Amino acid sequence: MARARMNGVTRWLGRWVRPSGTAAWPEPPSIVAARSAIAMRLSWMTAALGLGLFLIDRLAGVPVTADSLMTLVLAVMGALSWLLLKIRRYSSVAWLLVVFLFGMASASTWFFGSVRTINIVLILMGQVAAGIFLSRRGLVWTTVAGITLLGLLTWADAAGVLAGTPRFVVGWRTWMTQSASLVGVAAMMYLNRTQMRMAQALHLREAMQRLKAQLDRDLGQDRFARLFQSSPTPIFVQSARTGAIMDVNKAFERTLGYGRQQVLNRRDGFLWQHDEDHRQFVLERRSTRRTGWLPVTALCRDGQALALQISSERDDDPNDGLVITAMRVPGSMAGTLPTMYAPLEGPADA
Amino acid sequence: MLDSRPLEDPAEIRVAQSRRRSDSLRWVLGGIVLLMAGMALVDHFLAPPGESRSVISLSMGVVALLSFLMLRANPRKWGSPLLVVGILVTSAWAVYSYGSVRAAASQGMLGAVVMAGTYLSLRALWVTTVSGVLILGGLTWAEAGGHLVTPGLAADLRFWLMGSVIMAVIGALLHHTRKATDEAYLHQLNQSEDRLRLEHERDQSQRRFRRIFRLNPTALMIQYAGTGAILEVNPAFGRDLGYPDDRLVGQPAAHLWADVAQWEAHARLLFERGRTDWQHGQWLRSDGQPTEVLVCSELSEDASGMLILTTVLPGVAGALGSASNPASVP
Repeated sequence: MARARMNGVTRWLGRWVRPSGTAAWPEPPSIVAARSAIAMRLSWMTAALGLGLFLIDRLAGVPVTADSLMTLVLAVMGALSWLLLKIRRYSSVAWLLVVFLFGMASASTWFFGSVRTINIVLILMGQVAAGIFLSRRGLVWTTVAGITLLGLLTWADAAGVLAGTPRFVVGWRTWMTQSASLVGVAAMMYLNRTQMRMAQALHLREAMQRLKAQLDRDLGQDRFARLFQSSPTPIFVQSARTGAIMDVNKAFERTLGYGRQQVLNRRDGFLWQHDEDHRQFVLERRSTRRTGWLPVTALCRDGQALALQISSERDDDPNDGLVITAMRVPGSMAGTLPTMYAPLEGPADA
Repeated sequence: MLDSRPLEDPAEIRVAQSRRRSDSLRWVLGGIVLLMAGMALVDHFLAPPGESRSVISLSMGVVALLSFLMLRANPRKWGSPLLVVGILVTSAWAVYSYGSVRAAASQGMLGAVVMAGTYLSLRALWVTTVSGVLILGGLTWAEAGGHLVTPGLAADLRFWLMGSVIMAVIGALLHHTRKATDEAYLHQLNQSEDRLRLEHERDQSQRRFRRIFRLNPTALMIQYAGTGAILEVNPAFGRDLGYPDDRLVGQPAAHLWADVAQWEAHARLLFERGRTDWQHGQWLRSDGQPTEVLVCSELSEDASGMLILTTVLPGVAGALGSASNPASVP
């Protein structure tokens, strides 16, 4: 019941604070988003750790100073991070970390009474968090802000305007704080390198897939493409809408002597000797979807006339209608090209 | 067809990524050399007499310079590990000579972890972290036990400058990884856009060639070379020989030949040469009547195996008496 209520609250919050779908594109995907489950686990562990340390301090009789309350602030930061992760405000989590870590470093300096507080290291942790979870611009501004903040705190310390009176003794607690900082930074660097290597690996994979797609497209590995190209009968393909030649096969090039590039985007009129047979063919092509095998006389590139039979068929695709015209050339089937008009006998089947 | 972006060679991508990494490390090392030289000067002039630790800053600068030179001589070999070890040692030295782990130089341990995380292996990252923890533990123990000199813990310009230098170096390191990540992601996006477009064009091309196959007025047949089973025929095939399209699929193509010897001769020539010329033969129409045809076949490799692509001209063989007879093929 409580869980359902919590889910309802987070959904409601998410509706109000989630950015629109296009707002962040094409920013790199957030490593926090990619590993939100781990991030959420870390968040509640941080909250539990902060709360646990606070309780241990109280049980151990550590005086309740403002500096010792930083563990409680850590617990609050962990809880807030968990909530923001729950409602998928990944960028806000990074800003929360920066603001909290800088704030804790400043507060610790103020209450401890010196910039020599061990917690000053939190400024660097905030900078590392910004470098990993925010944009490059965010990193630059956070670095500038961190240096400025360190300068202000140093100045405040030197000017004696800080609140506390520092006790510079060190012990296991200071060591634990420094060690936790080192381990925290190492964990963030682990995420950082994972993020970078993942992006580089994806780039590499995408480049290989793109290369394959281009080869597939340009080399026409499809069996139907090969059948078209290797067909022994000359074929040319036209756009049904414009009549422009879109493709020809190798048999067409061999038979009529035209290179593919010489005929592309041209209408087919220049291929024929315009006589009565051609007129019949044009009429039939216009009136029917599929013509029979009709005799026409083609004009080869060298000007020679070539008797052959042709048949055309078109489809009704409204966007990409095609007209396919195939030729039967008797001479080429026997190994030599005829040079005079000699209509091929055979059924004009349709 | 024009492509908006040039192809990227995967091997070159790896080289470029490695080169960018070396370039950025070189810049960082150069920056550390200059910053440490500056810190040494500042320390020399600002420190009270006898308290200057500029030699430590200079040592760090020398280590960075050495790493820089090693990187130029032998990229990615020893430059980065030397620098990480150098940062750890000089940070420990600075803390020891200062007398407290509250020295600004103790933050250098964080810098070493960031450096290791950026340029070294995962194992090196954890080794550096554990080393940093142990070094700090030892120094804390020494300080708590009174084995170090008494530090002057006043805040001064040197503290701020050292802290700022460490932050600047960490910022530069993080900037490199973020830039590399962002660039890789952007390249991936560009490649992805191109891939989608190319795949669309490829699919469109395949659909178009399939339509050309279907619309072709010449009878065409595709069959498996291994089994001889018919894989596909176009409508013209059905029209010319009287077969419904779906009746032939899966049937042995040899059954279309009235004379098996002709088919065997045709197939033998096909497998010997990879393709045949036009050959005439007798095929069976759907009603069982033999008909004269001209047949031309070609072997073709396909993802699904070796295929035979056959073109058939029925009823015209008599007019083309010069075509070869498969039965006569040796």
